[in-house]
Amino acid sequence: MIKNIKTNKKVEKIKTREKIPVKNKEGRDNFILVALDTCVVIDMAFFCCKSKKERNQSIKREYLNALGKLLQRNVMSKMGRSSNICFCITPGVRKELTSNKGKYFGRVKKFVERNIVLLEVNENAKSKFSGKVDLLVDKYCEKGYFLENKLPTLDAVNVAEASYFNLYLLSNDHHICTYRKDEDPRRKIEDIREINRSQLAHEYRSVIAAPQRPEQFIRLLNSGKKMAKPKRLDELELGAKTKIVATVPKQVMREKIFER
Amino acid sequence: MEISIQDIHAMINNDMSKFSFQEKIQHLENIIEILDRKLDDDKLSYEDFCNLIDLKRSAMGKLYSVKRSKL
Repeated sequence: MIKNIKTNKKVEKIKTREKIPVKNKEGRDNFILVALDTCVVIDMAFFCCKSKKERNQSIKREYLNALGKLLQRNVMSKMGRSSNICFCITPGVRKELTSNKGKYFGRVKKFVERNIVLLEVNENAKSKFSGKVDLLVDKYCEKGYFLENKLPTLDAVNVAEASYFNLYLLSNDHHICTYRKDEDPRRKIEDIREINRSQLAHEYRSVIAAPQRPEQFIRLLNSGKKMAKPKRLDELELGAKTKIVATVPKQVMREKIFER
Repeated sequence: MEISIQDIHAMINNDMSKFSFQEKIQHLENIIEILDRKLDDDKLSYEDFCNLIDLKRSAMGKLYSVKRSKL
């Protein structure tokens, strides 16, 4: 069931412990899973090695500081009590960041491998998963979102994939998130939520995630409001013998995530 | 000969209306392959990397639409 995990002694442990814990009332040590859009992955990989002074001088100051705060809370890079965010990328985002041989591009490779969990769809579940994603894409486009020359863009696919996992998709793309120049900035997000609610009604029982800017997500985290709960990976069943699994590139990271 | 970003941009926006389904797929896959080779350069600047990723997203978006149009 588990793909791309190289042979090692931990595999059996991972198989038996299927769920990635998420934040809830019971414990601070649980994780919040968030999906990253391509632009955020690139910005994190390129900019977050910059000093605070350099970040403060940038016109994207608020955004970059939000990325810095998120990285400080990344469970993959830090083991302190405050680290409770687990970054994920969906299959669509992975495709953008890899060559056709499946290797990450040199400039982001180290960052992705050290900081991000890849959500993968098992081979025999792929057609069903992409069917659901295509359905969501069609609905977004019917509402007039994510279109270029009347054709759906990849933004639609990335939003749909994250929606299926019920993950907040962090993006800096104004096509995806709220945009101050939009007539009604919140409308797009509410429409996406509405579509997800109607199309995936049987999948969710609680708060529904939607795309967010990193700054908005930090504010949401700090507000103490109830967060959308990503589906546990063992709940992501698409058929009798199919499952969506998370693969993590390095053994030590798997230990942090699965054995905490 | 090195293909410039402008050339790739023109290739993506090429009028494909007279192409067959297979030709469209082939054309877009070739563009994505060229972009992948460029993106794999360890020394790319942030701006160049972002420009190339934008082009790749655009090409992949078109490929997605072409493939879905057949369904």
